[in-house]
Amino acid sequence: MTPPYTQEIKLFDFKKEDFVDQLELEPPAFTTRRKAYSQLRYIAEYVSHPAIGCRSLLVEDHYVDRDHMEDHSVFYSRSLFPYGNVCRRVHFFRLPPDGVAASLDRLREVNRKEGEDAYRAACLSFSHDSYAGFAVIKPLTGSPLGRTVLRTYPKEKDGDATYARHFTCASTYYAHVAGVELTVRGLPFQQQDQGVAACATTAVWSALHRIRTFENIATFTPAQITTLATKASLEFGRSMPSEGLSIDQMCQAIQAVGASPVLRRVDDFRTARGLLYSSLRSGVAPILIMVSKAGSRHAVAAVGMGIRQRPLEKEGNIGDRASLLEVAYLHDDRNGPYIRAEIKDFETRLWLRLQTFPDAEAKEEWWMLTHLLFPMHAKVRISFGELREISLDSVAAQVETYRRLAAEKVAEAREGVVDVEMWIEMAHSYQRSLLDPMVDPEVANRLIHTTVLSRYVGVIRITAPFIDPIQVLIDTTGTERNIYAIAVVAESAKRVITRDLAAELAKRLKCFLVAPAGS
Amino acid sequence: MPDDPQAKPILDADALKRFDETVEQVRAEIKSLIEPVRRSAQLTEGDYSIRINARD
Repeated sequence: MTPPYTQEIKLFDFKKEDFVDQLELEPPAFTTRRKAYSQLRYIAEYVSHPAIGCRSLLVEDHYVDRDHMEDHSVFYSRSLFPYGNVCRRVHFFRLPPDGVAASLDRLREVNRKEGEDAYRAACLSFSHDSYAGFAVIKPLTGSPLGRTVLRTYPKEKDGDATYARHFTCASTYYAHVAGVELTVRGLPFQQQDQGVAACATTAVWSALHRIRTFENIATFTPAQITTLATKASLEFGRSMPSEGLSIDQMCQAIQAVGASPVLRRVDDFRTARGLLYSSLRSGVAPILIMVSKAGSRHAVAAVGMGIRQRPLEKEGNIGDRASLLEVAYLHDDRNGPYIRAEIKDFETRLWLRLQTFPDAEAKEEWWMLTHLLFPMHAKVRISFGELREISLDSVAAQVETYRRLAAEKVAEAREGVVDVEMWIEMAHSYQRSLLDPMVDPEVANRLIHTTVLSRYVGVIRITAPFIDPIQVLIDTTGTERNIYAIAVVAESAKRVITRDLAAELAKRLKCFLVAPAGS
Repeated sequence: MPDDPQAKPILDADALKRFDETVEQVRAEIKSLIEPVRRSAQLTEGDYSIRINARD
């Protein structure tokens, strides 16, 4: 008996201009190829960027994608048109086809001759050097691009020494092809199909993927997210075909999957930038809700940030570390993954200037940020907003006060901006961060052996020329009215006033002091 | 700095007396940073009912 499906794996040279043709897609009947394939063309541009360096494609002709299978089950299977439930998957490699074929053979040989540990290490090394990610191609002629995880841009940007990219919301994803385990760091993206998902669903879907790095929650497909979002209310018509979601429905979906939706309205540039920075610094993929000049509302998930080394913006001698944030990298389901969005201050509002790749018909887009939606663990009760407020109003204000009063006696306190930064981090990850060579080893030991941390800790870090860095750790299980500091941590105490300031701060915040003993 | 429990704190009694007053002064200087953060938490039904449906 002939099996109903056979697998065919094809390997060929990647050519940016021919990418869409290489996929041999069925052209859509009622929409233009340009419109249906705009995200695919973006993918072709992205992977051909010198920093990604794609040179070959490997296509699996038969791929069962969980997301599409679910979408098919709840929606497409009920159509008259016989939509397929099987996808294809395209892998992008940084080697020519013969190099990929030889490498895959070699990796299988490693498993055969050297065992599983050697095989996994070799797969990891190969993926790191030569794998650029994958894209699922769905059997939907008008919206073929499904779950796509691509390698992110590198941290360094050629020819720009003061700029660094940080894809803080990328996680490791696995793809198994031809007996080889491939890994890529990124965040899933997909094109909106306007059947089971429009932009709001897709943004929630991408952001929830990131939460799985922190907590063991199940993955939810776009169809499941839209269903959960519209279960309690249908404010704007039927749930599918998707006619968009309200913010309330997005919150409902996030709550239903076991996370906690935290919403903030941002009508001030510095606040918007500060909250965005803290979220990305924490590795929490925020959902940005934006409005265009024409009044269209859009939602995207942010994956990373571009930081520019420059003097901090300051007020009252308190410098805002978030002012280094120059760019946000967005998953925009209307355009593509890792879209570069420049952050602009216009009439005190935060605007995003989205730049897609050079295209004769593509124009830059401007969107004004109106809200930020953070999917958080339910135990994190302190929001980024509250953390920012106490960082400025309490911690930074007291450090600056101390500096002014100490300046009467200590010359080095007479000048220097108080630089404040805040984020939320899992306790074990925070403890590991103290193993940095710049932190006095005694501090890490004392903290680990004497201090009980909440599952997630709020970290307020103060740096200034007149002190060694000082951190205030916040119990994130507190509430707005009952916020508690866990400890004040002096990373080292080489400067005269560090320990004295940290002790004064600990006394005022009614918490432990963790500082080097020899200071 | 030597580990000396007898070491005098840098802020003397007079400076500590002026601490609270100075903090309020600093807070007043950074009011324009803090007020919008507080405002961002003041959500209404209108915020939650915003419909998001941008299409490509």
